[in-house]
Amino acid sequence: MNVLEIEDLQVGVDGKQILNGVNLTVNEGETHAIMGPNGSGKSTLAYSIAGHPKYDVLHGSIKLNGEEIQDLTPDLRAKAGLFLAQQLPTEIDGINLSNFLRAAVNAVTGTQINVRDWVKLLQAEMSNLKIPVEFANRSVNLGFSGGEKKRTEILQLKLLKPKFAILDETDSGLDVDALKIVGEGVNAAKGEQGFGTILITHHTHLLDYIKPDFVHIFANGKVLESGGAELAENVIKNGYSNWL
Amino acid sequence: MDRLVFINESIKQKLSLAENEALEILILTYPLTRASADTTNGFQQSQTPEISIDLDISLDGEGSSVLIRQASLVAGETELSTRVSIEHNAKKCRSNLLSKCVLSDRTSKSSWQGNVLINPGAKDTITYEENRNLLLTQGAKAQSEPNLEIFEGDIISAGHASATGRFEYEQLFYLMSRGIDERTAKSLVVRGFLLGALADVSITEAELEHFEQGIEAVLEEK
Ligand SMILES: Nc1ncnc2c1ncn2[C@@H]1O[C@H](COP(=O)(O)OP(=O)(O)OP(=O)(O)O)[C@@H](O)[C@H]1O
Ligand SMILES: [Mg+2]
Repeated sequence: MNVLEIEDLQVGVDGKQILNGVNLTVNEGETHAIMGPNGSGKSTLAYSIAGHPKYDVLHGSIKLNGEEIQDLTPDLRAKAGLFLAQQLPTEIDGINLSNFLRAAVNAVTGTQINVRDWVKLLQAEMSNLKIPVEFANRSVNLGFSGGEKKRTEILQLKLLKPKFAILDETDSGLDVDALKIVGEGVNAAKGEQGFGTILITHHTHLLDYIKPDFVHIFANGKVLESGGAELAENVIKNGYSNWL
Repeated sequence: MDRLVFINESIKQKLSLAENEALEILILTYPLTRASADTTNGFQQSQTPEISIDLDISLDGEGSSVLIRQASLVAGETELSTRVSIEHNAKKCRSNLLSKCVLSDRTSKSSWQGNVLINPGAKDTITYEENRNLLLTQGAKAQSEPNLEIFEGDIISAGHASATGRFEYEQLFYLMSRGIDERTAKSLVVRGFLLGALADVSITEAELEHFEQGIEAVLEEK
């Protein structure tokens, strides 16, 4: 069984410590929701797991199936089975979505999918997520609306079939219909692939579609309390004042 | 349709197009490695420190049209300066100019000027010019000046656009976080950007292949 273990993780950015000892274990198939105030370090945790070099790991460990991954570059972490849907997906002029995703799928699966099969596969997944086909030929995320970017992140999740997915506020900026499409898209991918999920969110809307097994309250760079879905309801009603 | 191709050479030309004449112009500028220069005939050695592209095109005959595609990869201490002027002097003429340039080093420079002039009497004109630059490093300099002057009221459309972007670490990270290694990521972006300028122009396989070799050679050195 796949397992992602984060132990006493302390991370600094530009000389300032942001994460103060995060402990979190995610098993295959589990969904862990993380909720916490703005600036508490949720995205920092997401980027640290994905291997962004801006974030310095000061202490602790990130283990995938028992192996420390701290020394792996981001591409090797992706190949090992990690996926990060960014809070603000980056725009890249020059490379179109189709070519980018084909290169990514080839890299992660270690195969060379032929162009015909690729076009079919991509179009099928795009249509499931109601992304217009012509987006395949547009530069990655460039000029996409907020919601279009989020859907495109889920498209990547479905195609790359990771072992663990971190979804950083994938629900913010989505309209009601898109929320449903994204929620169902993640569930479909989970059903097919059984990956573990870390779902960072400020709302319970997405949790209506993707039922969390655990909810963690995150503040001041660490997990303060863990519980079930009822914890999320509590936050929505009462805010974070109990923990701050 | 007539076709003019300029590969890795400075040019200074004035052209006049007659009635219903259609011309395609392809301009490619990129560094050659010693190896690729030796094995290929007919391509001049680049990259000399200064390359100047200077074109004057007059659409003098009714219904004449010109399509210009320029793709440049400027590396090292090279300075590329481009000036393309297009004059619409007759009815129903078309001009379309798309220029894309990648600057790969701190010391690389490009200046670009596109001058489209629509003279009185050039009715039913359709014209579009666009210049896009991609900087791979801090310090590289790209100047862009798309000029459009219109002295005829009865035209169909006249557009111009210009943009300079940077390939930044966040973009590299994004690609890498999808499993793509650093070298491949850069190559995908640079090739995609430049080849995007060549989608609707005739280009031979040999020309394209040689251009792609030039791109890979520059990235190899990085
Ligand atoms: N380069 C930096 N220098 C100093 N502080 C930084 C830097 N980058 C991020 N931070 C700080 O780190 C803290 C955590 O940021 P992070 O983006 O992880 O928060 P978050 O929990 O994801 O917030 P949100 O809910 O708003 O998305 C913030 O206070 C932020 O200002
Ligand atoms: Mg965040």
